[in-house]
Amino acid sequence: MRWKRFWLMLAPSLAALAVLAAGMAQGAVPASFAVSGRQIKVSAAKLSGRGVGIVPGVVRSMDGRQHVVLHLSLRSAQVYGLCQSAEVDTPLGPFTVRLGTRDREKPSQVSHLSISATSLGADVGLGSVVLNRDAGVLGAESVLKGKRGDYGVGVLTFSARNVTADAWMVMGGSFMVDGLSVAIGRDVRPCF
Amino acid sequence: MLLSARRTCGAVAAWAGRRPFWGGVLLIASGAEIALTPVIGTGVIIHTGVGGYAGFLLGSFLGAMGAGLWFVPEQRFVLAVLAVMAALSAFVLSNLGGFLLGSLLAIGGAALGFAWMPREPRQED
Repeated sequence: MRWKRFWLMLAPSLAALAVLAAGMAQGAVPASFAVSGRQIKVSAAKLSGRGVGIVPGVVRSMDGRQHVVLHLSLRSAQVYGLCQSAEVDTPLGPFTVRLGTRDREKPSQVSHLSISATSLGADVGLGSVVLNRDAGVLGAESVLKGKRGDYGVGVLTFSARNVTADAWMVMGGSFMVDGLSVAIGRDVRPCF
Repeated sequence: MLLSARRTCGAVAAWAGRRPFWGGVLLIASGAEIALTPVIGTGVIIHTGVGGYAGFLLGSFLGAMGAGLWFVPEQRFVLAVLAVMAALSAFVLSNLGGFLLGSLLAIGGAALGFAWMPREPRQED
């Protein structure tokens, strides 16, 4: 072994990796996202926050198909009773994976939350709504930007109850969850 | 029985000693990890990558580089450089290179392969 050569190879490679990682964190290097070929269910008992944008968009799943979705981006939110579930196929048959908060009373703090949903249901109270705002200016700080000239909805403050969504993807800039519970099993109930 | 087992062991060790064995192991492991991350995901995972194909392509490429280190050790410099390129591409294109682990394994393996030298016959004079 020539250990000098080892470091000669390792150091620049790791440096390049670090540059890529830093660039990706700043969005300079585009990471193309594909979602898994199945939909997930997302629900929350109560959701309140500031800075919502809803814009149309397209996500790609693993099998190469494209799905038309609504990109929801929330700048900051408090979520009560967060739940997310998906069905997965295993060699032993279909199982349900479910992530959720154990305590429905404690809020989870979320910032820069993005949801790509095909359908969305909630009882909502909105403040300062602008319908048909240009989609290009909405969700500017999230990965899922709208296209300039597209239809968009901008909302300043909002609170919602009994939120349910069929989604392709959920991204959180940061999630602070107290008491996360993860379960997988055949008899685990989906969120809704 | 025991003797033959020991002899096999010795043969394997000798075989491994004649080539950048651990570099190849790390490269093959990283290739498998990058290629399989989308498959063994929980189903809710977000796969980065051009439709997920990049993971398979780059993973098998890294595995091939690992096998190359084993069977064509003379080419280790070229193989190692190619493997590092693939590891960096995998980081951008496929689930952050199998969630960073795969890319790190591949870079480590490539560096080990790059640094390997055949044992020189002892010089006496």
